[in-house]
Amino acid sequence: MSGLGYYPGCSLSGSASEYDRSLRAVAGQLGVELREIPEWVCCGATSAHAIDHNAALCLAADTLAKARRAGLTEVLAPCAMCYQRLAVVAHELKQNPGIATALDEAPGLENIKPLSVLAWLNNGVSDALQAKVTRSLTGLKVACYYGCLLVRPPKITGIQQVEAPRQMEQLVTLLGGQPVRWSMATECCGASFALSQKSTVLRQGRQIYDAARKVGADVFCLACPMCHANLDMRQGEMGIPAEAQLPVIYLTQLIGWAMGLDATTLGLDKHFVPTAGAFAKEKS
Amino acid sequence: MTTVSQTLANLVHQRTGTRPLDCYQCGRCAAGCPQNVPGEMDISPTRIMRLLQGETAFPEKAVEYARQALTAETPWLCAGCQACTTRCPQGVDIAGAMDVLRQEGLKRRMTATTKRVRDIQALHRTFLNSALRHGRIHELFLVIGYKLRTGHLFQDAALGPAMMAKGKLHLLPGKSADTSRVKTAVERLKTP
Amino acid sequence: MSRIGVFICHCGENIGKTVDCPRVAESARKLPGVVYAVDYRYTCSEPGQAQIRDAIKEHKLTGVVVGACSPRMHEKTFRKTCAAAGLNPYLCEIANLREQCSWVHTDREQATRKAIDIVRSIVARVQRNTPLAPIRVPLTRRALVIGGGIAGIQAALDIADGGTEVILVERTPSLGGHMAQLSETFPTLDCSQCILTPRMVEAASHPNIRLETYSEVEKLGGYVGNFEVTIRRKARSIDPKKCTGCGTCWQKCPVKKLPSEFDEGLGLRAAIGIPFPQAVPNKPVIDRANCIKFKNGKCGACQKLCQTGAVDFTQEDEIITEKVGAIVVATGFQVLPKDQLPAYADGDHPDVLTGLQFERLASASGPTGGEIRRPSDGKEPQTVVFVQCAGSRDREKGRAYCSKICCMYTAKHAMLYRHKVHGGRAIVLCMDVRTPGKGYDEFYRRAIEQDGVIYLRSRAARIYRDNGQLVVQAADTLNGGERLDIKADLVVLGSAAIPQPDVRTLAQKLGVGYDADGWLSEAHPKLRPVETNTAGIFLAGACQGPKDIPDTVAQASAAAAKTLALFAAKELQRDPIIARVNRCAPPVFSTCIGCFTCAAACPYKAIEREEIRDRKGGLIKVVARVNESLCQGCGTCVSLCRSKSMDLDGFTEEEVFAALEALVE
Repeated sequence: MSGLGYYPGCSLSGSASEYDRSLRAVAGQLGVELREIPEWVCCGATSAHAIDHNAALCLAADTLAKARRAGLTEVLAPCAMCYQRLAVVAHELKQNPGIATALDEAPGLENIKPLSVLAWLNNGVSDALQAKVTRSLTGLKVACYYGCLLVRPPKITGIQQVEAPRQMEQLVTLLGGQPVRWSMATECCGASFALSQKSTVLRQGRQIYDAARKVGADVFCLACPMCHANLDMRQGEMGIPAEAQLPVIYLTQLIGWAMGLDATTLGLDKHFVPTAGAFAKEKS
Repeated sequence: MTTVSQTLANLVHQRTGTRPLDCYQCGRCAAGCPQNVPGEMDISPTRIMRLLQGETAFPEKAVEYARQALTAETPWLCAGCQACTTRCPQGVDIAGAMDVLRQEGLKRRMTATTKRVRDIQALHRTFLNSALRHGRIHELFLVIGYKLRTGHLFQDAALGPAMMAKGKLHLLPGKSADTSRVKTAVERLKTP
Repeated sequence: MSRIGVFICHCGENIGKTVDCPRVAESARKLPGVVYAVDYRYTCSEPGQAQIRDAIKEHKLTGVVVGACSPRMHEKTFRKTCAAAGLNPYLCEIANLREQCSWVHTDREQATRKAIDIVRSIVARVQRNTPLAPIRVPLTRRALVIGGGIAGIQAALDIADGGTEVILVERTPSLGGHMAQLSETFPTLDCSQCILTPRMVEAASHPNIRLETYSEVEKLGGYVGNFEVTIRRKARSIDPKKCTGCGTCWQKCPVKKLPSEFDEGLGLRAAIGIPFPQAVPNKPVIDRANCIKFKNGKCGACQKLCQTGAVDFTQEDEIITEKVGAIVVATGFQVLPKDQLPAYADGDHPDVLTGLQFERLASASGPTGGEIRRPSDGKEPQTVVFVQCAGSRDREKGRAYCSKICCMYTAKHAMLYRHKVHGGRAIVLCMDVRTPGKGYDEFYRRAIEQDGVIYLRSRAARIYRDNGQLVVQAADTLNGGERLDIKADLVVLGSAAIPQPDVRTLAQKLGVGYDADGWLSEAHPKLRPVETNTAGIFLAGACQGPKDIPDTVAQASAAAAKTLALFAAKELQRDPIIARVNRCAPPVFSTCIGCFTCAAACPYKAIEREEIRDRKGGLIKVVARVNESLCQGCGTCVSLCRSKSMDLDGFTEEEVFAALEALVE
């Protein structure tokens, strides 16, 4: 196994570095070589498609073009936002050949396939993953939080059970954890307003927190750096006392931990809400 | 001078491949929208669709209906979560329509002008400029750029040092990437 | 020399606007063999037909060509006209000047020239036509009704009352169908079982009706008037002749916790039993998949305790074949299972009910005796949200159609709830309310005006559990789309009506059509609403599309009338358009070489072997022969025959080539 395209995106190169570190560590354990796309550019995120249609298309298409030049056919985009933008533009490239032309690219860019972290873990490597589990997460109640962009819209992501996805739950179960059933798994956290419209992120964040708390979750598990920033950094601002705060853990951190990797390698020390308590429980 | 030759409904059709005219006003988008709550969106997504239908159906009121849709805060307060698009029984890409309204509002210089909408616009501009200039977003620079644009100098002031302590905020910019091809392509696509 | 009459119809403006009809008639008059040609505004009208009849007599016509619409439309009409004037009807042919000319062209000159060509071609053909006689087919006066719900019961009773024998096949152990499950019926609120069960008993005791419950149609052969149907009688594991229906077996059966199909999973049943107390016949069935005896050989309690020795574990399925002349398909519908709607509480919440489940909850014979108590904890719900269009009118999910019955049954549900729980809140989420029907809109208004039901114009985005509390996400679209998250104790879905999951298999067995959604197709949506495209097979009830009880009963009676009308004839007649193997004088007898390529290719198995023998009985040769009653006249054999020994009556090689040659003149 070798040569999976890797598109870390801006967040994983910055504030979400623990997602990047834990993902690389897990890939290493699974024997998957991640090949970072040379000279990748920002996907444009919400801002680009909000105000400039063409910029949104060209940014993501340029990264796909760079992946193709590097001989890659599949690109793992761990950030939910990056994944969704690449997937939307790959879809758009099928209908609109003008985009490739504008970039002086030969047709066929749409054949570069963006992979979400869920698709990668569930379809490609779940058997290898199971074999590597050395530390069971027995007893850990996990609220699997998909947010919006990991699964929606189904025409782009190809996920059929968009209202009640179970891919993350399957992985958590495989690690010995106990996924809870809760109501906010695919509700938006409002992260694109983190800087510009704080009322939204605090309200949505609080609702998400309350829903997880009510069903007795010990931790959140997620795969989106914006959701993470929102939920991990702002629980205090949401009015949740420190002792009631829930750790917010990346799926790859959870997997890495189950594989026996240590907290520092996985960047578990970088969180605002301390994570140690959650993992202590699992030993008892 | 921008001439208004296209209806908004037509633009939505061109960009998203789906038609606001297909909307049968069931309200499912409004019912599931996280931002269609008191204090946020001023017009529900369902009503935005109705305005786009009215724009086509009643040419004598088209300008007024388009103005109402473009100057609503709703498109700017849409979080882009795609719940509406995912659930629409008629397959209308409502979230995609919000993109069109934002872009068209800026083009026609006809958007809401409330403080929060200006903030949101400022963030998008800062973000996109940064992405196009450096190829990648450096979060600290983004925040500083946004604060300078909006004057929100002290908002979230406590978060910065805390993030830095956790190693989440880097003082120096990381690698940037070449965007000359992207910029050329964007220009080319602008002039059909 | 032939004497042909040509009649050119303007079809109002349909043909006349694009084709110069007088010029077409004038040019026809000059064709060899034509002795009379005329144009007329509406040839199919009575004066138009009189024109043909008069001309046949006056000009002693030996053939008629009508230049008009498609033969599918009026060939029968004009052939009848000719027959009335004493001309063999098969000497009349249609020149299609509408569908194949005026409707598809705009240039008047070109269209007129084409019309002249078409008429010339058909004139050449009709000169070679030979008189034919319709084929007479015997008729079995006995009907098959498939499905024992209200549609099947009604059709069977009407046919039986008309004096004809009926076999009524029902695949479940009892008659009754969905109507037996309903609580009360709109718009009169009379008890469903009270009006249905007497009809079930009537059907079972009618001297002309033979019930085949717990049976399914396996195969169908034959054709109108002469179908042969194969029926599988599934093993009940009970001898119905010995069983008295006393009930000891199901009371003593140790397997008691199976979800009852009749109660839509809200009640329990044993592994042996009848589906509901009023079942017809009142004879139990063993559910072999769940019976301990069939699983591991132990138990057998029912057999030991049965006083009459009716339990028979060794019983096997029985296959029977029956001859029938007509078939009524009345296989009904299903209700969309809630697991198909994951947005609504993941599709598995016990307090989110399908419409049919609520019927059981509200029914006096239901699991709660008609008290409204929610399944999860037995509490009386104080707020009930009724969600309409649950699965219907959702183009994106592949179900664009309106299920038609939900608006009315939801109004009824909300009303029944308010009658039973006086302080309760009933909120209906709807897009629009569709209540065409006698007394229907008044009924729906009554729900609002007298019974205090709240209607909210909204589709539900999502239903979720908030720590045990159900929350319905809605919006008030008549109030600007303001969002309303409603806390509900119970949610009732206006579940979509869907076709039976295996309806396509049945339709293929019977050779009837179905649409993209899976509803069986009628022959014409307005003028032939109970017939299928297969002669002798009729439709009744919701198998054709969602329907309420009044419409179902009306259609069932219509299907019965069609069946009785078919049986009123002494014998059936059909067009003599069939293939024929040539015969000639000895010693050749026929140019057929007996290769039987035709037999292998014939889709109707209509080719037989014929042995030609001399006077002493010695075999001279074997040739093919066409069975007149099986042949459908498709012509496959004619085109495949290597020795050119076959021809098709009404479409002989000579006739077809004459028509073609006239075109290339």
